[in-house]
Amino acid sequence: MSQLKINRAYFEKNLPVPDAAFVKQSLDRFKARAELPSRPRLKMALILGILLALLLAAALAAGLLYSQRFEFIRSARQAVMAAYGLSQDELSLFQEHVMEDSGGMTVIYSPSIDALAHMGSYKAVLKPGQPPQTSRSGSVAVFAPQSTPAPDAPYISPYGTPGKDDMPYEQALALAYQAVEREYGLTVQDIKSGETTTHFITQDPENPKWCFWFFPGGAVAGESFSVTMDAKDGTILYVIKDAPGNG
Amino acid sequence: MNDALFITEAEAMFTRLYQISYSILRSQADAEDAVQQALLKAWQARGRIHDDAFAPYVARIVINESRNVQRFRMRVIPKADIEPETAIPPLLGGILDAVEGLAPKYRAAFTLKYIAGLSEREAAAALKLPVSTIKNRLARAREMLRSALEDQEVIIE
Repeated sequence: MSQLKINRAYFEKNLPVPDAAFVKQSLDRFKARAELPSRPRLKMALILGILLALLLAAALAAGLLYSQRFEFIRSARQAVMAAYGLSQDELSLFQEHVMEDSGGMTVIYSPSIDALAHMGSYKAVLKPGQPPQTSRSGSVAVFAPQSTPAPDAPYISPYGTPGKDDMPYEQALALAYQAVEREYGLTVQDIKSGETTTHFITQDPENPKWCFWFFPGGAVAGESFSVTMDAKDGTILYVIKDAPGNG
Repeated sequence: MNDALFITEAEAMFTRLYQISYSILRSQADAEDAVQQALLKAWQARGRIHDDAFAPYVARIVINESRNVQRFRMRVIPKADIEPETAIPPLLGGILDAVEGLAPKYRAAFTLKYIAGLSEREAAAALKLPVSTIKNRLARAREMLRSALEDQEVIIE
């Protein structure tokens, strides 16, 4: 009698095998649950959706903030223009500095340092639900209408304009020519050869001043001359020569 | 382990898993229930199964599920009243009875090695035991089976 070998092959051969339909049905259940290609796509779509929602929320918040900031600045401009009689063009000569603090905003309008003495600076403080508070420091800038300069005037800066009791522009300019000619020996022709800027200074409203800057060309190109005089009676206050390289 | 690999491995192992369960339960319906339950549990845990550890992992679950079905059936129906199916040869029935008579720790090692077809290393991984322990238990299981089947002229390889 031959001996029976019991090993894996014996059990594999003699134990029943599962019904084919049962095997297929069981595996189909897992195949149906497997989301092989769509799972990564779903995850990616979910991540993209969340990112998009965050971006939209951030954009909405930024838009609301920007909108509120814009409204504050617009209110500040209108308040300063109304309080001090400035036009939009005139206000645009100032630099606009915006500072936010405790739910409100302070807007400061300041000219360049050179012009600060003549133009002064303006400030508008805004708080939510309150009317703007405006203030100024330094001179009150008095802007000349665009048609004021004489036709032959080289250039009149719009810092101020003379009143009826002040010396007229043409007369003051002639006195300024004479002062430079007297002090530095330039001819009127030399002085006129370059650019001239004019300021009517109203820092002290009771004692306005004419101030001329001459930038001649020709042999003295590069040098500049300044004449400041009392606008009431034409008294020469300063005659200054500024050599090249003095900054 | 990804979904595709799970399905591939399950398909390759299906017959062996069924035979493990059948060797314990001797019932087609019960074996099918146990295999389905085991595969369902493995599917839920597929993310934690290493690609090369499917066979020992699932074989172990099938054994446990089959024992659960067996315990449930024995509580509901007295064992003496269960009529075994006649689909298996009497000699095989005798061998399975002898295996069933082994102590659980020897029976598990024997089932994994001889019915599930795992290597000793895989059986050790399935039972979380050292390979040397598995070797010892298999040797002891063979010895006891030879004793139980001494009138059958069997060689256990």
